[in-house]
Amino acid sequence: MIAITVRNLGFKYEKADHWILNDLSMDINKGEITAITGGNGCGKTTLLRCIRGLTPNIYKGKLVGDINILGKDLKEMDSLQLVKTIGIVFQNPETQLFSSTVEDELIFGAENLCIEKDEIEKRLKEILTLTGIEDLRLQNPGKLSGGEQQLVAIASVLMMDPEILLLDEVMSWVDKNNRIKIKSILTDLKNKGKTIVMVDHIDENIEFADRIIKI
Amino acid sequence: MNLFRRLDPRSKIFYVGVVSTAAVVFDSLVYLSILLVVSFAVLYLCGGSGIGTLYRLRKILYLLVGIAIVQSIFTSEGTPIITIGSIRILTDYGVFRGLQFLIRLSVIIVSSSILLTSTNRDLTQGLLQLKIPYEIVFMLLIAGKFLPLLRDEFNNKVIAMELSGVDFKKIGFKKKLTAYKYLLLPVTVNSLLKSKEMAISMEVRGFRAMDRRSSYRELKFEKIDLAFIISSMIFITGLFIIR
Repeated sequence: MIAITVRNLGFKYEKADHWILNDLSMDINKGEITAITGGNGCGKTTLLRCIRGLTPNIYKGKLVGDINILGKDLKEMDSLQLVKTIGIVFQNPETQLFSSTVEDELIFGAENLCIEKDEIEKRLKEILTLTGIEDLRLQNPGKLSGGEQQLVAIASVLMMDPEILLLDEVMSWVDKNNRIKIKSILTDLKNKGKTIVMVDHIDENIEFADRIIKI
Repeated sequence: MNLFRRLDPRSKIFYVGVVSTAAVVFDSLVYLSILLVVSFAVLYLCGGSGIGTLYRLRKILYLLVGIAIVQSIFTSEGTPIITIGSIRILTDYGVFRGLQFLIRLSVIIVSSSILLTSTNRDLTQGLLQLKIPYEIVFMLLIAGKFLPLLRDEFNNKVIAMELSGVDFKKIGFKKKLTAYKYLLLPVTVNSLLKSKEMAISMEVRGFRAMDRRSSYRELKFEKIDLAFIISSMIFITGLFIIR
């Protein structure tokens, strides 16, 4: 089954003189890890922004083509549907973490979605175990290492239990041990039926993916 | 002492509100000094450090003392203490006004520092339970996060300039000002970009996606909170009556 369909997608940033994405089409299968790779500036991050619906509302520019998420036209999905369906982790963990403890960081999204206290507690335990950050629960995210921060950023998105997870070069700030850890987390998530789309330009980081798409 | 450390942030917000209001209303140096001493005591009991607060605010303290001195000099009413010819340089009323300003602001600063003895999360939750719209509460939270971001950004740029050969300790005041002028624009732009990224991160995690949000943590009012609020009210009302 197909989770994401991209058809004839094009995007040009406001004030830019060229299309960063031009007539791009692809299908992303459900329950698989799909890696998107390509050189610097080829539009990998922009593609994730388009799939998440951040363009052209937040990142201004001209968008053409169609994106379908689990059978629904992206343009017809409201912000709540998008939050519940697609989770995104950005490259820089520093600007994704703003709470005073890891626990607060993780529950932020769940509280926004009005999830009940008992369910939050259950998810919190599960996600902390899955990501292996139980020991960091009461620590200040701002004082963690880059790798730990990235794990917290991933965990905070998983708390909202999205069906699709988009990851933008999440291993670029991470050492070898944490890279192995992230790969293992992503494989676990895939086994639970999640669709994962990751963007990276380093072959070693994406070799475990089910499919690799070069753009 | 432990009891005070368990105080609900809402009780602290109440205390700061009444004491700051009283500090604005009272004119007497004696009453203002009482407010200051009590605020120091409450700050200490809540786990804060009065000296630490003063140390953190040392640069502002110089400014406050400076303003108090200027206010003393420019107040012409009262009995002259220092005169040059027929010009009154300093009067007793001027000294009184300067001291009044200094103590009044100290009361507000010290009492507000009591809020810092609660964690960000508790303070946020307290404001939410006081029915302050959560958009405003998180705006305050992010504003609090923005200042260290700005400071870090500035420090990084200063280090970058030092590495490229600018010695901030040796260059003169005028050159230092010019160097800071060059830093100001990139630092501000970078900080704004980081803040935008932070706002996007909040949005993709469902901030304002629904009209309301649930709460994993609930603050509960305890007997100590009630006792603290009643004591604060009796204390302030007592001062008003004696006045």
